[in-house]
Amino acid sequence: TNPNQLSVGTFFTSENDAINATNSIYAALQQEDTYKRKYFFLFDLLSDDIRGNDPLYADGQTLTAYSFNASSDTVLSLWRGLYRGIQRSNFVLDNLVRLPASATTKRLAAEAQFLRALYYFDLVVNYGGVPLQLKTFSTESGGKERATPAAVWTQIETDLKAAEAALPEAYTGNDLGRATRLSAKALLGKSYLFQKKFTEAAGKLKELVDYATANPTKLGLMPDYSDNFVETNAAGEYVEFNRESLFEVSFAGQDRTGGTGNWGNDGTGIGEGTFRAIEYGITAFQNTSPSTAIVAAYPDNDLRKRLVMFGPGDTWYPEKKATPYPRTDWQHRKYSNLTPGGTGDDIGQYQGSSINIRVIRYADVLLMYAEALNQQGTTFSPEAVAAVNQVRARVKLPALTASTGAQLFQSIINERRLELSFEQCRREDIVRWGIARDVLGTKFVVGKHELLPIPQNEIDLNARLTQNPGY
Amino acid sequence: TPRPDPLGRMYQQADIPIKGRITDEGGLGLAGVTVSIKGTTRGTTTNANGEYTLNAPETATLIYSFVGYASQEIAVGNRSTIDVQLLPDTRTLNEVQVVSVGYGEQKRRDVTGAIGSVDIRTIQNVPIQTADQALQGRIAGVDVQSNSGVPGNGVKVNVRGTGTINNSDPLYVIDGFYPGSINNINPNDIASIDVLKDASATAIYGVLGANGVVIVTTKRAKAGKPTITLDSYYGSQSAIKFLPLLGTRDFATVSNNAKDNGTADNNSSAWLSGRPGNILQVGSERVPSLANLDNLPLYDAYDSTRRGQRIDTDWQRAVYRAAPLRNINLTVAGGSENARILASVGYLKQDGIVQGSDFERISARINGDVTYKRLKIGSTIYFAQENRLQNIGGTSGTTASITKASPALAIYNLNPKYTLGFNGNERSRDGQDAGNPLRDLIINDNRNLAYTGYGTAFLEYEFIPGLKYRLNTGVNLYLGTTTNYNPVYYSSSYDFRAPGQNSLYQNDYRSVGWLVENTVSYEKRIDKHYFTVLGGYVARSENRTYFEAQKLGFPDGDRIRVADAGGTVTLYNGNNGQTRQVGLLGRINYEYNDRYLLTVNVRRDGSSRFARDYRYGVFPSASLGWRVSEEPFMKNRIPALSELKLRAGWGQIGNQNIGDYRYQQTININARYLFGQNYVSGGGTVSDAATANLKWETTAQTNVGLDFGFFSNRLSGSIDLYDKVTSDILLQAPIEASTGIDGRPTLNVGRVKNQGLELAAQYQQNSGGIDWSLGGNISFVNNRVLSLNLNGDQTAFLPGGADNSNSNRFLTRAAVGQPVGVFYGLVVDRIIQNNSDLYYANAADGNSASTYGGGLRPGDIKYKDLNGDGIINDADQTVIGSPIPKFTYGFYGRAGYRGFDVQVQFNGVYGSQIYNAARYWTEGMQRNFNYDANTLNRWVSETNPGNGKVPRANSNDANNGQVSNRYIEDGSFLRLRNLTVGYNFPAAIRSKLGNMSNLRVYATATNLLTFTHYTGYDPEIGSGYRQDPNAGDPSYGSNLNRNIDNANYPVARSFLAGIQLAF
Repeated sequence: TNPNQLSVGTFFTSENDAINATNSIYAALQQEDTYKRKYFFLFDLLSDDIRGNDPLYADGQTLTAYSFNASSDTVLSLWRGLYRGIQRSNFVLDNLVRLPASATTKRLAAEAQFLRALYYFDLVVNYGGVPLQLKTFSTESGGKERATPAAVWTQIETDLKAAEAALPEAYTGNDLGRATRLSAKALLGKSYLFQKKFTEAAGKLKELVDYATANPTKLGLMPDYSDNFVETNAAGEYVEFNRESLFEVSFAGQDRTGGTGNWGNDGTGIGEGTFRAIEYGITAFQNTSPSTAIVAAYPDNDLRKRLVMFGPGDTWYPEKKATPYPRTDWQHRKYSNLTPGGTGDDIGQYQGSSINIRVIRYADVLLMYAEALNQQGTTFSPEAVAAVNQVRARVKLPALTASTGAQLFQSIINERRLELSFEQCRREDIVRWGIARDVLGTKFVVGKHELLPIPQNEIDLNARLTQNPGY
Repeated sequence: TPRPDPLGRMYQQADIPIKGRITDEGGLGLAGVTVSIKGTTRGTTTNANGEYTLNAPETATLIYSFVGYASQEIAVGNRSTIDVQLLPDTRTLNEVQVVSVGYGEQKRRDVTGAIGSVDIRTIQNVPIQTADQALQGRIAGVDVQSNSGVPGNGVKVNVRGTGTINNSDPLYVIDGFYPGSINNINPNDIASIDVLKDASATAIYGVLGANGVVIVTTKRAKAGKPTITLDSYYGSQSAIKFLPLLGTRDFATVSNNAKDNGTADNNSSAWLSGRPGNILQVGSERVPSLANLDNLPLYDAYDSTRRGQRIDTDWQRAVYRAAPLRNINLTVAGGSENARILASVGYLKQDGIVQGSDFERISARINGDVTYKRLKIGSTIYFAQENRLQNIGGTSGTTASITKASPALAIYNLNPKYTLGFNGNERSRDGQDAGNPLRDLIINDNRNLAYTGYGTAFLEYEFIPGLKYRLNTGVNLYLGTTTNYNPVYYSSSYDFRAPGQNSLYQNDYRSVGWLVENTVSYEKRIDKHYFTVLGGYVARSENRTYFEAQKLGFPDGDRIRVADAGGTVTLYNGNNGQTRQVGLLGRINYEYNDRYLLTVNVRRDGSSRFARDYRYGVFPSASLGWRVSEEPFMKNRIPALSELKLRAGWGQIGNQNIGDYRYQQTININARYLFGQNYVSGGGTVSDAATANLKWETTAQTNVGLDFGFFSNRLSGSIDLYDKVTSDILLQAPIEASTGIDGRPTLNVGRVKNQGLELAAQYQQNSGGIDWSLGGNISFVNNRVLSLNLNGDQTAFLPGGADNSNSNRFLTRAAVGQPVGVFYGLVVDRIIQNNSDLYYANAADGNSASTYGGGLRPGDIKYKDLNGDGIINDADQTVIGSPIPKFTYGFYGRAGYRGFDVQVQFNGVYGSQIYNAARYWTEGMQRNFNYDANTLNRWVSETNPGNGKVPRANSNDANNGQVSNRYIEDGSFLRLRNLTVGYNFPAAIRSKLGNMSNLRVYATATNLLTFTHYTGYDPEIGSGYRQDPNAGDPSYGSNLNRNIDNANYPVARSFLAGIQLAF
């Protein structure tokens, strides 16, 4: 018997084991394949928000150029990272039945279902119909065929409905960060929207808007836009898991829990930081910069412009020099560890940033709600306009003057781009709106690039998998 | 007769001078014949004419002896002249030679299996550093390739083809013990090496023997006067070749061209717009235009205050060096018939030809034997300390970086701001990947210190003549400590290790094993029947434990390097594992009338590596021999024929060469998550894939062979044909990522067949004063995967063999009908020359508007559309090469004349291919690494199309670097591995120097010549795989990684001079 590790037969014997097994599903979000690194590279590079700079890794260069093929390392990474989370969810769901039912086991099952849906969401949106793995690993898990996209969506809805019913509204203390009922509602609404089920989407998202109206301290926009991308705000307040955040991936950074912040596919919770800050950072690798298009897209009166980017005239302190150094070009600021005028250049020193990555936040919900209402298409919806204006009002922008559905849709497209820039929403948005070819130019091949290729490695190992068109 | 004098002392009788001449059967004088006085150590040797003079008492008996001739003893009597004619020794080498067969020995002439032996004289007179080098090119069917030139690193040994996809290292048995490798022992201690090749020979080792068995016996003392032997050599090693990498001027040209093409290709106009033409930009300074660059004075590569200006660093010359190699070995042996002891100590220090790679070994051995009546007791104690400096980042770490490092970067930085004075990794594109290869070699301190040893003891008691009981026990020990210290440094504002981030990593690994073997044997000759019977029970166990930890934040100045001084613990891990094995064995050897031979083996084994129900297996074998030459009808018919033996055998053997506990699904508790304000919450999930019904792999092998000897066996050799099928091959097979499992489950995945032909012959003669021999061997092997059991799909294959460019990009596969590890990829058709050529390429599917491969341009490679569907994609991949040679061969010669001796050894492989993955970087022209001179022949424009083989430079390339036959090269080579010239001083001089019994000086050149078309550093790639054999879990599919060259650390050429002396 292996003296080093617990075995499957002896593990799932207490609620504590079940909690630990559920925690491991979340841990798959923290890995290099997912939010720690590849997730932001993949979706940002495939969008028009970003340009790759010289030091960008070779596979990343092929993403910006849309010359990637099925052998792309990043495309495989995301696939692998998502399925890792799915397997861990299945492990929990299959084994919870071995414990006596309790409030905790019901909650854990719901958490597992929420996370499984989250993982499948990115799979079905980006790869199309994928193999549906719903059982814990056995040697029979290999060799599965692709399910239809509809079957994957059905599974996502089933899981989210179950999660919504059983999850609590909120957590406290050392449980902050677990999926809540509100997380499930938001993702379910988003899932309806992506399937163009606008009525269901509007209905589900309205539940959140109503909840926010009734409980403004529990759900709503933060007063400062920047609170969504920092750990501690200018006033020194801890702003992670704030009322705008519906679900986020938690990072600590090596300086917080003492890990190495290494490049491996770690996911051990120790020193687990995201490389977002160092990869994009102004004092660090500068692998990417904001594209000229996104710089141009922000009107100068938009406060967000200089909250998401450093630009000409901004100053910062490179290499801990005493005198500020003025910038002449536009570089990333969102999720950066660097405060202008401050002295912290942690980015150079620490590979792992401790800033949590917000996956869904209330501003996104408001804009999705507006879009769903508008796209139902029967009558022009002032409620939709009001939702968008709520987002604009925070950054002191004037209210919209749209008077037709088409005008409003254009405004929503624009608002989503500027509000959610560099938050990995743009690529999925332009594809589902069907405007990717217009936005990205001829490098985007219609009929091919809407989906990523099924990784060639995966096809090599499973002859039953078919490739997406064009690859 | 001596007479007592009045005081009772014996008077020595006066010597008389004796002279004479020794001739061979043809009457020619024989040089170098030893003439000695029986019962004394006095003697002489004959001169070139065969003449000798010697003073000896009348009562003495003289012994005349010479290699290959029958010794003669002649009483002096009253003669003063004694001429002798020596006759060839009709007893053949085969008759007197004894080979180890496992749990006993057998006379060579009685052997019925396929067993190869290393001629031990070839190790004794040639300096080697590790014992496995002694196998190289010596035995037919034993393919030995260096994995790299890293000092103290091992070799890859394959016995009879690639029997498994998994790790196919043979079993090493040293003095009846299994320490895991022969690499750790001192080669000077070796007395014999025998390799059991076929299943009828290896089945006695049961579940361990499937990949062949290498049996090493160390030297033991003989009764008689004590002898002292000293052997020492010193030499220098250097790189055999350098690659033709570019200087700064050419590098800048190609690099700018790559970037311009990449920018033009990319539809995003914003791409790179920030910093045009900044290829050589470093820091915030810009490089002058190329035209101006030529006009600048050439700055010293050691002065990087001129960084970005005209610096031309040759990184190969900066990092490679001439490296000394020294060895000294002292052996003392002696004793009586009842008690004998041999003690040896050795010291080896081998610096690597790359800085930051050194190897040092101190070893000691005591072999003792006691005989008392019917009891024999013996013991072997060996202990060594090995110290490795390993700053080189593995076999293809630094050596690959050297090929990539930009020549425009300076080696040193004289600006005092840069505290360490090194200037790597400036902000040139991609600079950070290759950096300054010299920096890490010098500033880091990564070491491995290992204590390894074993002690065995045996007791043998003979109850009645022929009936013996033997107890063999032993323990082995391996204690290894790896310490990696990475200090603070500051190369530039982009490349530094800040104070507080300096780190110490320490890994302590311990492996302890024990062995108990009880055997009973009975030997009996009844008339013409001769038989031996052996039965036994064996048990062994091995425990492995490791603990590792890392801390950050050591005091400024990096002065204190113990864990206590560190600030933050960043890593701590540990685990342990155990392997246990028990076996019952039995063997019968039967011989009738010295002509008909039979061997039957059976072994039943149990192994803890498999689940309870799959643990035990039986491994049988049988073989027959017929010594045709002993038949009366043959004996006089062909007088020249001295030996002819036919052999045939069959057997089944096992392989359990996998990690422990692979049958048990386990939980990974390290998959933790952070909740709240960075609260680390526990984890637990299925980490790895297990297979409950795992069983050992089985090899069934049939062997037929013949041994021959002509002219009193001066010409001898053997021919063997075999057929070997390995079933239920154990492999950590890759599994789809969509199963959500990271680890690879170990599976019984398939069957592989090896068919082979082995020929070995040697000739030796001693006449006209010249003692010479010639030998050679050649092995042909045909390797094929018969079936694979993956998802129940017979068209499936096992991919593997990634190179350094992308660990997920497979280069090789094991597929049904193909050899294991064939290279698989696209086939280059041509370089697209112009737009109309491009039009035709794109229109291959009938649609001229379509493009493939992300939009080709003139200058790109067009691959062959093998399936004719008009699209170039992965479906057009095919087998583009095989790492398995059509044949391997070795030959050697030895000659001695008047005290001089010369030895040469060649070995070679023919018909294998190498994937030269280093060229992916040096010729890929994608990234801002240095390039090979071949890129000067690239396609530049329609009017400057280059040599038609090298495509255009393109930093944004997604087409030209695909896995294809572009980087496949012929891996055939013939290497003069060793050339040694020595001189043995004659007795006349030796006696003046202190009555030495031997004094030889020699000079050796290794790897002096290599004949090959291969363009990389070294065609001898091996699998690139070498883990510490004691580390337990063999890595995945090492035979899928064969012949992939990531600019591996090349083997060195060396020149050595040495001395051997004995008293």
